[in-house]
Amino acid sequence: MNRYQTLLIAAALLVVPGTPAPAQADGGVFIAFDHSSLSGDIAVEIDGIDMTEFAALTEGGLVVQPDIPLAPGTYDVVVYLWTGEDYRVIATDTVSVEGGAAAGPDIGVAVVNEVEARSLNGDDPDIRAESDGRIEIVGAGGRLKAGAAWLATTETADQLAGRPVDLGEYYLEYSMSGEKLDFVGRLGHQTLSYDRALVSDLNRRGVSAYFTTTDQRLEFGFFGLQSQDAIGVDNGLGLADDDDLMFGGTIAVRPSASTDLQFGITAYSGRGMAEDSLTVGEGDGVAAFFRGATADQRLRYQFDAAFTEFDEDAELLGYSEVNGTAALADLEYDLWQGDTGGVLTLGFAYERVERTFTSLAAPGMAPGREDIRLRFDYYNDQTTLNGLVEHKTTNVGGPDDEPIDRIVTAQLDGTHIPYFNSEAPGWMGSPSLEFGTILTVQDRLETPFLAPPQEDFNDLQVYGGLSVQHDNWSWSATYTFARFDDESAANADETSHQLDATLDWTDSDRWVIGTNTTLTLIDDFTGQFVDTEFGLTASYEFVPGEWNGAFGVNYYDYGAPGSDDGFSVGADVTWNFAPSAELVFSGGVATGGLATESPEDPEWFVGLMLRQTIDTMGGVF
Amino acid sequence: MMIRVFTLAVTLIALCTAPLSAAVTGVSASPNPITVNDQGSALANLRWTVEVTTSTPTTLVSTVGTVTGGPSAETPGRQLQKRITTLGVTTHRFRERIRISRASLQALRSGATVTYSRAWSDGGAPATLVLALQLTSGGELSIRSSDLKFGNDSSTITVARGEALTAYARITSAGRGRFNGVWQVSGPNGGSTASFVPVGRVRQMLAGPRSTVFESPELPTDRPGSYLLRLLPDPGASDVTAGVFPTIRYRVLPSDGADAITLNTPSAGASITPATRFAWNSAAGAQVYRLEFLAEGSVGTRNRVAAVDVAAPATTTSIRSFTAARLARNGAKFWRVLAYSSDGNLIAASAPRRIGGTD
Repeated sequence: MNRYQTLLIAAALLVVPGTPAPAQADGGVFIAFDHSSLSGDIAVEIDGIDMTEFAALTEGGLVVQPDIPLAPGTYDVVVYLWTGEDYRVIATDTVSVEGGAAAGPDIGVAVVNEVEARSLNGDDPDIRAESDGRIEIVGAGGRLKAGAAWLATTETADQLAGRPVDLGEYYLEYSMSGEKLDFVGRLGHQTLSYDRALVSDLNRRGVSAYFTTTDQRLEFGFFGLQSQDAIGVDNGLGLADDDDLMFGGTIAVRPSASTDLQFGITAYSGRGMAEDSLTVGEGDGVAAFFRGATADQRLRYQFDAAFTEFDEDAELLGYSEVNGTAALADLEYDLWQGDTGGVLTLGFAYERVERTFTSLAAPGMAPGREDIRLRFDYYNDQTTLNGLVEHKTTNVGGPDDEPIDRIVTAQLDGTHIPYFNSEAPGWMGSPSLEFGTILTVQDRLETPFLAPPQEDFNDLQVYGGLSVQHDNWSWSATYTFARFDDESAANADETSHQLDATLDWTDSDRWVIGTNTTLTLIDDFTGQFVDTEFGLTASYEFVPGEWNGAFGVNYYDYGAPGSDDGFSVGADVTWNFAPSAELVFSGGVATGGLATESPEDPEWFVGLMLRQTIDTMGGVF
Repeated sequence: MMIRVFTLAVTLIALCTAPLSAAVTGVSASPNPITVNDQGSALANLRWTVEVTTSTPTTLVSTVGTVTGGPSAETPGRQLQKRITTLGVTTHRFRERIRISRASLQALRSGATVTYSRAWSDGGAPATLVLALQLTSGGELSIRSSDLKFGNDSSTITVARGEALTAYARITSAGRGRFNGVWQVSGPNGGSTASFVPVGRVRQMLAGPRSTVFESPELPTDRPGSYLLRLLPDPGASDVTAGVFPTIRYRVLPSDGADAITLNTPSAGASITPATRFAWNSAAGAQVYRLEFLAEGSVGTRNRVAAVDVAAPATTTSIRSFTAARLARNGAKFWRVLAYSSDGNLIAASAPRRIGGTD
């Protein structure tokens, strides 16, 4: 439970202009403001971190003394006062924490260099050399961040973009908080979402900038990104190829400072290959949205509408330009909120996306559907329940000569953690249960002349599982039943029963053992078959920190005729002869579907590898 | 005379015992035609029924299945075979899953005649069946796009040994079919030539145009080195094409990283509000827990949008409305919990967990 002090104060609120506060030599900060006439509960953020739990009022202001001392640098502080309905900003400040020489940029490097000689089936050994690394830089008090990954390898199949040395993902980001405006600019690989229809879940490389006023009443941004997902130094900035480039921007306003309601528009234009195409297309689009929350944040809403034009082969004559629309609505309401944090949320969603809707900036959008969804989510400390009912209609905005299907899905998933005596858990350890069911029904609504006949089906899937954690070992078992009732002419019914089990053990010292087993009984039109998959991995530290060995077995037995069964066993011994270097001796045999490196069956290999690791990142960076 | 009788008798005996020739006497398949969705790359489930007449044990085989009519002939169907020991007329069934490439589907959309065919033989003259492909708004499961990333929205990541690591795949599909996905990992030794082994399974019915997110199980990070990760549509899928089902890589460093923190509530995909109760398992030696929210646009780094510091031993908290407002404005995508010791060192961390929008 969060702790914060309740203050008895009265009258008007003052916003104190930011002036650097006196430094706190012990890693804390002091914010000066007059609180003598204020009443209510105080909360405080430092660089967006809620540190109310470590705040205390003093004469003339507020002291924040976090248990993790603040590193030397400059911090943005915001002080809030609870007004009875919501928190309200009463003071902002920029403070500095001193404690030594000005810190330079933090640089972290992680590199794995390998040279390996590997002989397959007794042939002359192939030599493989590889350097796989990453660098991260944080400077200017956290405002400047940069990073890059690279791969250099002699293995042609592993090379990025076909080059022996190449750049993977990279980025350069600068953020700045001013008196009136906050800014974030990014060059390189990035993820953008301006709305839910037109520019959404976009993971590409290029350049973007986003501005927000400090009162968060106005936001605007723009981008120039490569249309396709790519890595490598070719077109490194993502802006060099006109046939693989898109631009866009957005602006959003919050009309009233007392509500969360926000209106906005987004637009984009570009050239590139759509997700299901092999030709360079050209298109543009515009979207409008509004979103917000009300009723003490218990009701949340979002509406998006978008329009696109797209020619799948640009100016060529093979395809003509088509336009499409998308409308998305989402409502959520917290029906019940418990005293200990439980919540029951109801949701309603409506989405209508025409088959011809194509936005290069929303690659994950599935077109050609009308969805109506009702859902509920229940959470408390021990139990979660998630339910969904969805009604989907296909071929929305599509050709008149193609059929229309209705797909209804009902789904329920849940987890439950029974409470046991954590000091003496007994044989059940710390268990957790998971369970669920999914029913999917497809019916044909319209079958135009010469269209394929109905493909109706009913599919039911039920699962239940238990996982148990002990100090040194854990196990899990999950059973899944699936029944596919094919009502089309193919009549390809299928029933399956699947059992997944895992068992892991460690002596917390030298041994680590893990197993996984999957048994699947399939009954379909070809007969009844059992598929078996088994895997075992074990590692042992002969001399801790110096010698360790690992062993692995995999076994696949697929019952259907013509399936690729397989077996493999492999082992390696590692000698850590220097703090950042090791020799790895490895060998193994594989048969059937796991003998993938050569035409021989069985195939075997032996290898000797020198690995060097450079690591200055120190964990989470 | 006796010689003639003897010769006639030998001839009659030889005629009576002469073996009949084996022959494939019937081939059918379902569905016929193969209905495919034109969005993306189709995964078609086919069921073959082959009738054989034989008087000796034989092997029924079809070496390859071929797609023709596209820019170039493709062979997505691998060898199917069965040993037949029952004599006379017998019926044999096979099932296979094949991938129809985007090139072939685009040719089909342009009006070309695209077909899939197999020739079946038991040593005699082969019997061939040609199946037409037909476009439809439904049809077999079709993968429009498959995006595979780690929890920080990047396709490469570096973690410390023992650190919790997961990945997620967003698959946009159309048509209908069961997605029997298998998560596979290769490494840490041998580069990409080493075998991929399964670390988790996904079995879900997909129907109609939709976007679905699958989260991987915990990935192996107990041994240092470079690893490759992929999600295949089923264990037998040998036709893996980059861009349709990509492969991503991660590195595990030899240094021991932060211990893993187990997150309890809320579950992945839950929306976050001031009523949400965050709970996690305790970490030994923790002085402070930091509940951290990470933004979109986080490729390569974990961009913090907002956070809440909680003094140990508490392992639950909720957020205030101004934090919730930050999350909404800045598009928070993930949350996680970090544990710090009394001297400010990071000692434990959870894997990032997704916020909302899993479908």
